[in-house]
Amino acid sequence: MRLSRRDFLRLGMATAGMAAVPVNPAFLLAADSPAPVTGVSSHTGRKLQAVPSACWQCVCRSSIVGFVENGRLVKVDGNPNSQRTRGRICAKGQAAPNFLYDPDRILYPMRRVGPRGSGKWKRISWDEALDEIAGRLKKLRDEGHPERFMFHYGRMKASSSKIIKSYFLPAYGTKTIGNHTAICEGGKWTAQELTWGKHYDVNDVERSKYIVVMGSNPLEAHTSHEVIAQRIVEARANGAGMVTFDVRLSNTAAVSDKWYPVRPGTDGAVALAMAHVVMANELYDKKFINKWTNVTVQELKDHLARYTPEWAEGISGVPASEIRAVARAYATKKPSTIISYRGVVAHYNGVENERIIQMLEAIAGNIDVPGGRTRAVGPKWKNSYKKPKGKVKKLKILDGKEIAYPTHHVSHQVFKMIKDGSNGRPEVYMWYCYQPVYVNGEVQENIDVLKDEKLIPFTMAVDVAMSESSALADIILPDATYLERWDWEDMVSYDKTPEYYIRQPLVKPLGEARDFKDVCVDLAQRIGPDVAKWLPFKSAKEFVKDACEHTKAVKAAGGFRYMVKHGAYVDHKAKHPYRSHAKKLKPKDLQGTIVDKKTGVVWKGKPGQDYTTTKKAYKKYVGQMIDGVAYKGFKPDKLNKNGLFEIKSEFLAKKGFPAMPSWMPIPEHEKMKEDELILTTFKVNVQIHSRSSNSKWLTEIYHTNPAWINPETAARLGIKNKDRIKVKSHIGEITTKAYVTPRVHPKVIAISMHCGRWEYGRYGSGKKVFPTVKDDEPWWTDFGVHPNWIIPNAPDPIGGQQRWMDTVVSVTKE
Amino acid sequence: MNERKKENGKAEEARARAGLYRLVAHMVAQEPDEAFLRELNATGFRETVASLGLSPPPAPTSTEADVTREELAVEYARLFLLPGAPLHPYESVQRGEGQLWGEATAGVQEAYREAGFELNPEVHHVPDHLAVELEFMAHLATKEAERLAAGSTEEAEALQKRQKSFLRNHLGTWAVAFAHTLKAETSQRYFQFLADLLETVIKSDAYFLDAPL
Ligand code: SF4
Repeated sequence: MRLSRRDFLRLGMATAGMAAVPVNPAFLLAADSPAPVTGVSSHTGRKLQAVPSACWQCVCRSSIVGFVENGRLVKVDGNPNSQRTRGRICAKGQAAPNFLYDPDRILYPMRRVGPRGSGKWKRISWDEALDEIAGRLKKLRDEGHPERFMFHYGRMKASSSKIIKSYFLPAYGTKTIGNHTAICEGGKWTAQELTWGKHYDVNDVERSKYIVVMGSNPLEAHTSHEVIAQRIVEARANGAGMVTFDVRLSNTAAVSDKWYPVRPGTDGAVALAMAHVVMANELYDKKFINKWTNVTVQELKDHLARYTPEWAEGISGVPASEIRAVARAYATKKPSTIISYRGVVAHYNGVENERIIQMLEAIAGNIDVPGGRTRAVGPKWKNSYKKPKGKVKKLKILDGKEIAYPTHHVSHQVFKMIKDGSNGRPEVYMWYCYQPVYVNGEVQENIDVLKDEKLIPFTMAVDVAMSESSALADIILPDATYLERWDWEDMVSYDKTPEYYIRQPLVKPLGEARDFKDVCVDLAQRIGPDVAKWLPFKSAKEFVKDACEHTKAVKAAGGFRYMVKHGAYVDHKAKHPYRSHAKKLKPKDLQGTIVDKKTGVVWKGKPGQDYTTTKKAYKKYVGQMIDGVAYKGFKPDKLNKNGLFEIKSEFLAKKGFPAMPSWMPIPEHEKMKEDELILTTFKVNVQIHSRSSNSKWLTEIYHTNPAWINPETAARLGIKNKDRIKVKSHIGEITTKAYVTPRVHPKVIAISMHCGRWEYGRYGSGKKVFPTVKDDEPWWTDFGVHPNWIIPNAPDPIGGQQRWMDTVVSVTKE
Repeated sequence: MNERKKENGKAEEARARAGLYRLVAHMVAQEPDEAFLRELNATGFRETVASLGLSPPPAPTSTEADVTREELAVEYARLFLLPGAPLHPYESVQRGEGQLWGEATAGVQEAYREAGFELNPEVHHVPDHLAVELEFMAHLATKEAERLAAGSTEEAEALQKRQKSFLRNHLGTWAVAFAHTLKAETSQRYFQFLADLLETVIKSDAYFLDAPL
């Protein structure tokens, strides 16, 4: 209604006595000094700042530069000061403004009203939220049960991990800390710990002449995605050969010389046969085997004799002649290397498959040589603060049940363990940068457990958006996005040279979002002085600054000021050599060490102590004796392993598994019926697994995930392209669309991740009303179907890795 | 003397307008509490509202008291804070940019700067949040009143010009449509009242300032 001038003023005057309408705090103040400027935008003519920082969207954590106009982020690009990324970033990194400015972001602490998951919320102040949380945590702690506070993270790296996991949580006293490695690549790491010790491999592809890709898609998604992708492209341009074994013609397979469609879970058989060819044709690295491994050439030959290419063809479907050709090329076009990832390890036999590949790389002489499978080098940041001392307690719910070596936990079993309850249950369950409902298998069970107030009395999410999981929280704390916070960063480099880099806020956190690291400082203070005293820093910024001033190389470069200005520093003086295991130890390295007779390990044990049986002796490892000489060897981690490259594993033999890397058939696949298929999942190049569907740009490109089926299979099942199909496993059924394509193995149905969301804002879920976007309407109506509803949470018996690619399904036309 | 009186009258007008903008800003910025609901009813405001033909706000103790403060807070969160309703209270989103901190936001921020204001770092808002835009109008009208009272007619005129242009270029471009959406989205009387009040203030002020929407 429009009022006359008179009435309008009458109404206005009636507001005069309203004391409850405060003038302060005002949203606007008289202006202060203007912001510093580093340039002018050629696009808008506005003043522009370039702020170096770091991406976070995938674990690669590329260095970036954010361009900011008057406090508004307008663009993100790569940081040319980074040698690791060489100033390049991927599409996901470029979509940064979409994550920051998602209109569906959660910007205030929210508390649920009514039953958990009912969708009713109210805003609360940070004070209210933190008082309640601190009150609950303090109570558990005072009762002597800090372990009943479970903290579960998805991505938490570098200084975020340090502040939260090394300071806040131990100061509080809980070690019930869950991660997500077992749904990612945990099995790969366990296999590496069993063979060459401390995990992480860097395929030095830049210098490779021949690259074998197995169950990995580095050109689209990889732990070092754009870092390795650009180096592969360069190697190819320089004439390197490349072949890809994959159940699906990924874009990596597409640019390879050959794509070998392999039956799921049989990469290990192919690799065994390749090893057979290498040994049988005397193409092996005799010196390495003799000196650095714990087996002889003869043992290897004997063990591998049965694994002929013909045998492998029967198992994997890859022609024996092709396996021979690839094995020969691999062993003769040196240097060469094998890139292996989830396609290899997310199986019942995953650890064993990766162990086979480790063996193959070892006998081919590719271990830590230029162009081979090298050890990762990352920066070593140092902070000046003392680590918390004191008792920590843990609920035994992190490692599932009866897993031989769950060295990276078994996160997908956590809800099952909570449901089971025999090892206790958390009273407070908090998650951070994690989407437990959506990213694990058996989605319905995840919902049921998280929703059940009897199983978990109190739930808290630290999240940037309303996700399927935060919808089941009692309190949601609005997290700052990675574009609004501080970190020192430490991802591995691909040049054997440690690269120090930082993340700094490109803009101030929107609304009341706060970096959870700062919240931890606040929480510690509210819980009490004996917790707060271990977090003497006031903020994450102060923590980062401290590290810049206490890390020698960074300090020498100019410390915090340097890092804020340049974002990244490459410590060229600290370039690591290849074959670092062969380094001879100096007398000063040997001071205070003893030699373990049984293993030849040089370590800092007490005289008379036995290396193998002393708890966490591996932490005191110094080197390995070989023929009377002390070498650095292969440093162990998580297990009291010696410093050799162990091909024969006593650790596994002890638990009833074969000591020598062997073919391990997948039980379900052995008894599959003729018409059944194996479900496989995959990632695409423009989406992050579970945290990017709120990006309009990315979701516009990729928003639906029809199931890939081979034409032969489709014809047999009477399915045509775009038909609605039912995909059924022993735990459930989904209905989706068929994409009939020869780009997939006939025994496989492949459904990507990222889609089929029912939360995470309008762009990803399609369910929430969203205002129009002028001239650029979201036009898509198909949001795909999430495959995890029908994938059981099932662990690899050795490491506990989630078996994403093992599910047997039947497929029918709807 | 007559001039002086006229100036005083004008100052009072500006104060009245500032009061309305401040009131609506307050209602958009947060969930109502008891004290505020009482205020809406006790000061004669309710009667004025009714006499102008607007449906009056709910009384804290009226029959609508079965709508508890918590329910108002839940409705507030549903409408303005969480994904669900198409009511993101930001100009950039409402004007079809599809994201926060859009081009419109940059323009709004520039308007603040030109008028000598910047966002209070203690209060967490994006510049084009509806409450901030409304408050900006309140600030300008208040300043205008001050200038008038001090006899600086020219400055007062410049301030009114600013209000006119901000209404025409920013607030007025989306606030009425927003009020309509709000009215359609909510069945709670408090928020329907807010929708009516917002619409009335914007339309009436556009008329008052001769800044057609
Ligand atoms: S690869 Fe892409 S998503 Fe991953 S960190 Fe780099 S820019 Fe970000």
